[in-house]
Order: sequence, then structure tokens, then C-alpha cells
Amino acid sequence: MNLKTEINNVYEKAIQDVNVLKKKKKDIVNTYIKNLEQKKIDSIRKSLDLK
Amino acid sequence: MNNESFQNNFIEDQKKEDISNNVEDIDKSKESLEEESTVESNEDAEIFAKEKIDSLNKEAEESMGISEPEENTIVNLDGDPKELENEIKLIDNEKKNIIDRAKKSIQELVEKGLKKLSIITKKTVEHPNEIKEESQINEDILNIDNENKEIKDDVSKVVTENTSEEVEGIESKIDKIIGTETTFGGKFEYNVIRESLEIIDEIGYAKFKNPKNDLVDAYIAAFSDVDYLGYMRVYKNGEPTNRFTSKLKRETKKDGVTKKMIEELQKMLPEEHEYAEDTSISLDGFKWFIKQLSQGYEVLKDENGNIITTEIALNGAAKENPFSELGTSEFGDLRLVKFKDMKIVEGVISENLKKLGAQNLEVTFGTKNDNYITAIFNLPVLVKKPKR
Repeated sequence: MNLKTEINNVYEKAIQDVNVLKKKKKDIVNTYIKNLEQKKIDSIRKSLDLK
Repeated sequence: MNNESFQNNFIEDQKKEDISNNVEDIDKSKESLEEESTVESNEDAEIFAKEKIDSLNKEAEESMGISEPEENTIVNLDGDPKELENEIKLIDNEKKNIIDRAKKSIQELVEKGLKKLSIITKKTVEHPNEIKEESQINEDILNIDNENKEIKDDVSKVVTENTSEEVEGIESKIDKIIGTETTFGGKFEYNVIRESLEIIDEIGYAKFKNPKNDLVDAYIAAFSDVDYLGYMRVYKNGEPTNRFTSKLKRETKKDGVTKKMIEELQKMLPEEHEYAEDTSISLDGFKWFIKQLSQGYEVLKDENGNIITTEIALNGAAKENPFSELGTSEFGDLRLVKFKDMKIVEGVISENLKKLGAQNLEVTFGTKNDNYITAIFNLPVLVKKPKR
């Protein structure tokens, strides 16, 4: 394997790992938003006395 | 590296040297050609590396924070974006670590590549030519071409740092120590799963993730098939903190390994992490802990300036154990039965606490169970200072 390929492998791996983190961050935010939405729905249902 | 592999490497280096010396038979035009192409490839790799590092820097600048639309949605749903701050900060730190490590690896690759290639260039250029028959010269050139190819293949191996065979061998040794999932001797209530393993200069660096929350809970470096250093995340009431404790096992004698493991692992740990002991410390451990004050750590204090501590015991696991005659257990907490021994131990602990800037922390003595009395004291927690 030549030097440029080695450098590129390190670079690609880092970008791949960063992309995994980006997805993880997005998942965290989305889960949080979904929970808030659910709370809101629950609260509306409660105020309307729905089950 | 053991003696045998050191010798093997030495012999390999010697072979490369011998082959390089044969290059002395190349004619002048061949020399300049070789030199030119080597220099060109050096420059090429350097430019390529710079481009990649620039691109990584750009990636590092991109914010991982909550975007404006996300923030608006959260606020509209009566949520508080600040509740996500800690989790996102951890991810951000991890991203920064990944990028820093990649940049460092690229720089090291370039440096190693340049060093090795410059040896070839030097050997190819620095030699007087003997006058030979043209046919002989042509034959020499042919041989040297082949030998040069071998040298370059060897260099390429060195640049790659470890051949796949070596990596496999190191990986299997490291597997023996840490495996792919573990509780680290009950340190965690669950198995943490190995997420990555990188081998640099025969030392394996692994990250272990908590499958429940996807956080990296353990950063482990392992060398040979016995030595390891691990930093483990502390959980409080089931919640992850930014505090880590460490565990070190050192049996092999190779110089610089522990230092290298510490340096690399501390780079991997989240920024501004806390470092503490949670059960006991040896005198060697104490010295190491104090040394961290010169390695970018400082004593953690609360908003009123009080030192934050953890309550621990002193154990007898130091290499040179001054308490060996005190009837102590080698790896367990000190077992003290005489008042004069307690005074000695108290003095040693206080002296070390002072070096941490903790003048007024008391050393007490109590039982951990009914069998023995041991020294108990509050050890300051350290925090990694932010980079300025």
C-alpha cells in the first residue's frame, strides 16, 4: 500500500466515524422531539378527557 | 517489542542497508532519475496530506450543535434545548478527538514516509561510480531495479506501520487481555462492547461502548498480552458522568510504553473530563496522580473553591512498598494493627495530599470489614484543563 493510499484510508475512516456521530446527534434530537410531541398529545388528550 | 523481534528488525534494517549499498553501482543518469522521482513522490504525498488535513479542519469547524429549525421545534413543543447540551457536548468532543487523531496519524505517516524515502534517495545519490563495461552496467541496473523495488516494498510496509499479519498477532494478544465485550472485572454492571481498535507502534487502543446509551464508557490501551491501561466512565445513580477512573497493569519492561499509552488515551478522552480514584490507590498510583498536575490536569473545585474529593483507601500494591513490613496485604487495602504504623501511614498520605494542594484533608482510620483497620482519606478529583 503506498503512502497516499494510507493517508486516504485514515482520512476516510475519520470522515466515516464523524458521519456516524452526526447521525447519532440527529437521533438524539429526533428522539427528544418525539417525546415532546408525545407529551403534548398526552396533555391535549388529558385536557379533552380522552383515553 | 521483545529481544527476538528487536533483533529481527535489526537484521531487516541491515538487509535494507546492504541492498542500498549495492545501489552504488548505478550510473549518473540513473541516479538523477531516481532522485527526481523520489522527491516528486514526497512532494506529492505532502500535498495530498495537506489537502486531507485542510478538509478535516473544515469538518472540525462545522457545528454539531442543535440547528435553528430543531431549536424552534423544541421550543414550540415547550421543550428546552439546554437539556440536550451535555449529550451533544460529548458527541462534539468525540468528533474533535476523531479529527485530531486522524490529523496526527496523517502527519506521522508523512513524516515516516519522508524519512524512509530520504534514506533511499541519499543512498542512491551518494556514491562514486566505478567504470564498468556497458553490458555489466545494464545488468546491474536491472538487478538494482528489482532490489529497489524490494526496498520500496519494505518501506511501504514500514509506512503502513504494521503488516496485516502483525496486526492480527497484536489484535489476538489484545483480545486475550480485553476481549471484545467485558464488564472490566465488574466495574460495569453490563458488558461494554468494543467499538474500535487501532494499533499504533504495537500498542492497541480500543474504545468500548455502552450498548444502552451508545456512549464510549471505556478507553483501553493494551500492549503485549498482559499490560493494559484503562479509563472507565463513572456512573452516578445510573447516569453517565464526565468522570473517569483508571486501572493499570504493567508487567513488561519496555521503556516508554506506559507513557505512550497514557498520552494517547488522554487524547481520546472527552475534553475537560474528570479523573478520580474510586476505591483505593497505591503509593505508586499516588505519585502518578500527583504527576498529572504537570500533564494538563488541575484539582477540581466547587463554586466556593472547595476541593472536590472521593473517599478511598491506601493499598499495598506499589512496586517499592514502604509498608511491606507492616503486615499489609500486597494488593488489598493496608491492614494496620499498631498505632505507630497508623502514624507512619498518616504522615505519608498527608505529605502526598499536600503535593496536590490539599493541606487540610484528614486521614482517618476505620474498618472496611471486621477483620482489619485501614487508612481512609479523601483524594482530590482532577479535571483536564481546557485547551487555551
